[in-house]
Parts: sequence; C-alpha cells; structure tokens
Amino acid sequence: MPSATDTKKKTARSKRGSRVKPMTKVEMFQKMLDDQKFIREAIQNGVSFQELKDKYGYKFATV
Amino acid sequence: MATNLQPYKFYVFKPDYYSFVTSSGVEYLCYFTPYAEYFKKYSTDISSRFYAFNLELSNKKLKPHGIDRRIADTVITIVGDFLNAQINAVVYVCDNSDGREAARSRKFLSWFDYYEHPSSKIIQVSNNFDSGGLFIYTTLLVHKKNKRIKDIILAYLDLTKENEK
Repeated sequence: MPSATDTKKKTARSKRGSRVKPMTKVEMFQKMLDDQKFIREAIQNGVSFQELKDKYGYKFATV
Repeated sequence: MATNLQPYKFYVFKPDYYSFVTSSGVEYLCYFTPYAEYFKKYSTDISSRFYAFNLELSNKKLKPHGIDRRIADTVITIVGDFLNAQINAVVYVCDNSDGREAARSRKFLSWFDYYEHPSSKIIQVSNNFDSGGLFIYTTLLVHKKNKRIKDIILAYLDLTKENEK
C-alpha cells in the first residue's frame, strides 16, 4: 500500500506534469470544425473509418 | 406523383457508422465522434455523454438535387436510434468552410422541429454565438427521458455561451 508521502509525491509529479494549457473556447470550436473537415475530406477520398482510427487517432461512437 | 415520406432504409456498419442511399443515388454516411475533451471541467459521467453528429456525402461529386424530405426522416430515425439508450447527447456544429453555415443550421433545426417532424423522444436546444469573430451555429439533441438531461443542457449552454472568462 503506498504511503501518504508516496501519494503526495505522485500528486506533485502530476501537477508538474500537467503543463498542457487548456484550450480556449475559440480554439475548441476551431478544433471541432477542423476535425470535422479533416474526417469529411478523408472519407470522401476513400480513407476508411478503421484507418481514421488507427492512423490518425480519431474515435467514433459505437453504433 | 406519389410521394414516399418513409425514411430511407439505412445500414449500420458496426461499430462506426450508418449509411443510406437516396432515390437519386446519393450515399450519406452518418457517424458520431466523442466530444468529452470539450467538457473537461465536468465529471466523466457528464463529459462522456457528449458526441458530435456528422452527416457527410460519401462522394462529394454526387450532390443532391432539390428538396428530399426523406433525408430528414432518415436522419431523425438514425439520431433517434443513437439516443434511444437515453444516456448520450448529440451536438451538431455547423460546418462553416463554405460560408453556408446559417442555411445548414436552419435546415438542421427544421429537421428536428417538433411541428414539422413530431418526435416523442428528442428535444433540441440551439445556441448560436460569436467565438472570436467566428459565428458558430450549434444544436444539442437529447432524449427527453435521459436521466441527466438537466446537467447535459446546462453543460452545453455553458460551452456555447458567448463570453469567455
């Protein structure tokens, strides 16, 4: 079982490690639209959903 | 001329997408992508429920001509199928790459307008706003019996409110 000190160390590491700046709202919507466009053009150019997942890292809801 | 107002027969290509072909031979693909990354300030229980709705032509060279009401009926059926589990919610963000986002938004809203296409199970909330000089048209669709409907609507309205802190 980890000690309290270990837990604190982990927490401190996590805080130091999380340097990813949160997206602004403008960036969020731009990313939504950019992803949408990329997937649309890929599909229309014959890229499969499997390839979009494996090669480009996109995720799709299970239907 | 006889008018068939039934939805088109659609196919589910598990696990990723739906597909249907119109009477004029145009194929549409319909799929949902997770939007959890845009709701990070909420618990996973809420953020993981959001998905983007996407409807695309499989071939951009084959474009639809005129108004085809059966496309709307088909999309309503597909989205209804997706939301039927009463867990997830769907956000539609109108593509603005061709300057036709306002028309696209009007059409989508009409598809889910209760008086045009009475739905006993889906409600829509629409919020359009200015995002850093970019006007964004969005709509939320959620099942009326979704147990977290209130939290989902509040999170959506928070995401799409105009002023950024």
